[in-house]
Parts: sequence; C-alpha cells; structure tokens
Amino acid sequence: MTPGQLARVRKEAERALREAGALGVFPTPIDKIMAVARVREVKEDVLNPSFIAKLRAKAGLTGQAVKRALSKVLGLFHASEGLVFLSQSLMAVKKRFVGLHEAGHGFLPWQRPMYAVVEDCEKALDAATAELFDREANVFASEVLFQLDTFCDMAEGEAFEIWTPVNLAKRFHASNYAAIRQYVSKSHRACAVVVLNMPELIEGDGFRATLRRPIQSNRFTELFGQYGWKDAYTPDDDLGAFIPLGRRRSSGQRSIALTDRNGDRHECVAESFSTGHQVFILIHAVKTLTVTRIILPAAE
Amino acid sequence: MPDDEAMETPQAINLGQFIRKARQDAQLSLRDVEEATGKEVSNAYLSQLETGKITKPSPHILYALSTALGVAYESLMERAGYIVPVANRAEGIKHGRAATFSIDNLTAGEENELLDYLNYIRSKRR
Repeated sequence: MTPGQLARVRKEAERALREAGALGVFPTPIDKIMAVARVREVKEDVLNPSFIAKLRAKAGLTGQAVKRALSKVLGLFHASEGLVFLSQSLMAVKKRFVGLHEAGHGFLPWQRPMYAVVEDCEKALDAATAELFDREANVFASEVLFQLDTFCDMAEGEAFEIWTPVNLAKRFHASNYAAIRQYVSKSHRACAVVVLNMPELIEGDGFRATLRRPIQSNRFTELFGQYGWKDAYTPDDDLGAFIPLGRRRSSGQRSIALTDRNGDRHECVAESFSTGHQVFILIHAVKTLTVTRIILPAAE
Repeated sequence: MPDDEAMETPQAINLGQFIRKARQDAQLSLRDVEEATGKEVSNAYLSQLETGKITKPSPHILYALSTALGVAYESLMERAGYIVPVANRAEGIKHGRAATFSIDNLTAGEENELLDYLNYIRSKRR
C-alpha cells in the first residue's frame, strides 16, 4: 500500500473509533464498530461444512465446490445485505480480528459499494484491487484493534523485549501474532521479528523450523534492506539456536551480529518466544536502543 | 449518483477525458474539485489525471471524485480497469466477487457456488 492509501485507511479507522465511542475503551468493543459500519454478524455457523450437510439433506442443494470454498473461508462479508459471517472454529482473538477485517470492508466508503456491485453481476474486481481491498481491511482492523498509536505509546513506556507486546496483547484482546507485528512494524527502532513454524525433529539436524513470515520495521529496512532471511532454520544457524525446545517458551536475550546493506556488522540482541503454534524471534540493533527523540517547537 | 453516462461504453473515452468532461459539465474548476473533495484530490493531481499522466488513481481517490463530480463510482472504477468481466479472470489468483478472509484463493467455480450458497442462506433468513 502507498503512504497515501495507508493514511486514508487510518483516517477511516479513527472515524470508526470516534463514531463508536470506542477511543480509549479497552478492549475495542467490536459490536459497536460493527454497528457504525452498518454490518451485522450472523451467529449461525454457516461457514462450517457440517452446516451445509444439513442443508443438503433438506434442500438437495450445493455441490463439492461450496464445501471446498468453505474449507478455505474464515470470514465473509456480504455487502448488499451488510452481513458478516465468521467461522465459529476460530480462536476468540482471531475471530475479533477477522470480524474487524470484514467490518472494514463495510466501513471503508470506497469498498462497500464495489462489493455490492460485483456480488450481483458477471464482473469482478481485478486481482490486484481485490488484494488491495484485503490489505486495506487488514490495516483498518489493526488500527481499530490497537486504537491507532495507543498500543505503541503504551509499549514505548516498557522495556524493548518480546514480553512487552505479549503482555499488552491481553489488554487489547489481540493475538500474540497481531500484537508482535504491531510492535515491530510501527517501531522507530531497527528491529525485526522472524515468525517460524514450530520446529520439526529431523534426523541429523536435530530440528528444522520453516519460515512463516519476517516483519521488519522501516528503520531496520533502511539499515539492512530486505534482509536475507532463510527459508528454514536448524540448531546450527545463529537464529536457529534461539528456538526454544521442549517445554521452554523463550530463550532469553543474547547478542547476535547482523550485516547491513553496506557489509558492516551490527551488534544486535535477539530473543525468542514460542506460543506452541509458532515461534517468534525478535531482533533489534543495539545502537538504536539509546536513540533519543528531540521534539522542536513548531515555528511561529 | 446520476448514471447518465451508462449508455456509453467505458472504453469510448478514457478515464482522464471522462473526468474532465464531467468536471466541465458540472462547471467546476480544478480548485473547486479540490475543495469539494476536502483537499483529498489536489488540483495539480487532478490536472495530471485529466491529461492522462496518471491513469490508475487509488480507488479511494476515484470515490472522492465520483462524489464531488456526481458521477457513478462504478463507471470510474471500470474506466480505470479495476473492474473486469469474470470471464477474463485467470485461475489461481485472488478472487474479486466476494469479500472473503480466506486461507487460500478461491477458484471462480468455488466463488460462484459460495455466492449462490449465501443467496440461499439469505432467502432462508427472510
């Protein structure tokens, strides 16, 4: 997304929070956001394939394609009726995020009318625009969930460590993933988090954990570029050695060196956290830890 | 929003020409449109759009212009190439008829069945 698109979505998120009376209310009241987005959640578990089985028995409708579709869909927004369908199998925190994502499709004024048009005709959004609308809805959900900069402002008063977003996630009723992502992506520090799938035991290597996604702060990208994260990590890798095994949930903080885009090595600190479903390795460059921001008064 | 351009095919005139004509028909200057969009679309940007230097403004920009100029948003989106016939869609890419949060892209067939299914659910709820 361009900076202009991000700013526009953020402005809409602020409007939604304000109209819902949700600014400063923790956790963000999802029902009130849905109300101002003029969407309504359908509580029936219509995205569950077993629900279709019941319908098929009654009406003899639907084929295998809809079952395949529903096995992929976690949330759905029906624009012309303003209905939101959420998979009831989702964990509560994930369900909140997906609900806000769908509410975003309903609240963003340039999205809702487009979906209403293409739902009922033989035209569709082109792939890039469908992707853009999804990214915009994700940004909307994130900005509403974390109340714009409130999460980051709270985090700023705490130590820079993995436990800060993990602990704040509970207050915002957010997933660890969403909270850590917010923590890193909006940080003014040179930091990154590498999200890995749970390690699998491999004969010879000990274990192997595949890369799920890396997230870098802007400052990190300025310094290191798009870092060459590996597709998988083993105990022999510098980062792989941080992966907690057995019942351990974290590694504690240790030093590590990363090489920037000019070939210079930087002292960094890394630490890991495992949720039991995925592993996060948070890394930050030490020298940016002592950065102080000087705010000058505006010119008269 | 009025839809008096509906009889024209979207390809008849390009996006920039269409916007210029709509602005002139509404007797608005570039600065008037800037004001009407709450400065979301600057007069310089609009000028580049009308002269074809910018061909694909963001959907939110087109929405702001549709409101300011009183033209159909759908028409602007179609002229910018954001709406395409379903038949032109390749398999394996992001679906664009239903707003879904999904693990994987739906095929065109799956998306059609999903929309039919939703229509059925809606009819049962009435």
